[in-house]
Amino acid sequence: MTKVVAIMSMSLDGYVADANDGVAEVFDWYFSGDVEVPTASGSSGMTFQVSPPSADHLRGLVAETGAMLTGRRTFEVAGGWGGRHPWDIPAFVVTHDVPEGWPRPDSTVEFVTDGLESAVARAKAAAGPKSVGVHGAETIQQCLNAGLLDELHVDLAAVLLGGGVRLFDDLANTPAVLGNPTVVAGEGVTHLRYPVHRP
Amino acid sequence: MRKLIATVFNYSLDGLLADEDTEFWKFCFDLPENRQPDDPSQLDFLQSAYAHIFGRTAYEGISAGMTRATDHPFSPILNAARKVVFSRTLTTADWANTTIAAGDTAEEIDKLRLGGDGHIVVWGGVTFWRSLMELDLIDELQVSMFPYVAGEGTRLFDGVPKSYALELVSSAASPSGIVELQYRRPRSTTPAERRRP
Repeated sequence: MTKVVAIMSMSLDGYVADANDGVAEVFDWYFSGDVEVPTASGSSGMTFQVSPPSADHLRGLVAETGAMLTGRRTFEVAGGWGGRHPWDIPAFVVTHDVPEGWPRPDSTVEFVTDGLESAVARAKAAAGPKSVGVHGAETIQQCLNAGLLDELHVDLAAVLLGGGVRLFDDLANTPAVLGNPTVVAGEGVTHLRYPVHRP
Repeated sequence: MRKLIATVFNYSLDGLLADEDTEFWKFCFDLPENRQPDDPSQLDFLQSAYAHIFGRTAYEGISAGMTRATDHPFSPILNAARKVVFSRTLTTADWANTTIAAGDTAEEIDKLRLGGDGHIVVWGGVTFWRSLMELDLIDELQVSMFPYVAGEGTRLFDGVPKSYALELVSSAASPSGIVELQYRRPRSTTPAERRRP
């Protein structure tokens, strides 16, 4: 069964972006180590610079993720990834309307306008035996509320932001007990992976 | 100078503390390693502290609990230890070896931390904890993060005065999935230097 896995970096006080939508603080661990981890071959890929434990963790995550699901906001902030997600996997964007100028030829970014469940189904079909990654606070919340998430993967960054965009906001089905996490202790970041019990 | 180490028990993945008599509270104390915490390094950490400090609410709750539940692993350690309750309204503190600090918080902390090494354990509650965070007096955080999304509760980091990076010292999970996180507040200057205008 194709798993649906939320992937997000979060500060110790629960924010995925600061008050100005900035992610430099919570993403710092991606660029502060000595080990290079390319996400894909070819020009669409990007290269992370992480500590050794984070490198192992990240290689595994990239290898097991077959499609990415995000909301419109993540798509916009990322500038549409230039038409190709940096992990070189199909990306599905849940949106009310297809942005102007899209879809583009040679692009692997697709738009789903008939709702979250449909987007998850299409991403699952594209991922095949691999997992679907879900990125973006609002989309993760919607997946959690709809019972569509199998795992919650939080990269807990060693920083306090004091304000910004919360990962866990507007939740239904709380309180919720999670499964026991796997824990990878990185440098300046703790990689936590919790199984989600369906409501 | 002694370090102030704050212990944050019962913290959820979504950043909330377990309020008494909630489902989250019950979940926390149903986990065996949290109900009977007997990890030797944790007990040694408490045993070797120079002092244990509390706000009034935490003092009242913990003193009642520890004098009643004498079989709790923390009980003999805390009953015998040097304790200070920060309160401007309490007139007596009956728990053995407890004194009351009623003056300016920063000055009272200085009285405790200057003149020696080692550590002081900050137990809370949340009002006291926040006042120490605002004064930037906490040197280390030990956070027990539970595998739980609470949705409702007391938000621990509320009104953190400014954003800053922490140094991650260690992280590990207990058998029931409690992630024990240890952070250090990086300091580039001494407190006396920081206070200079």
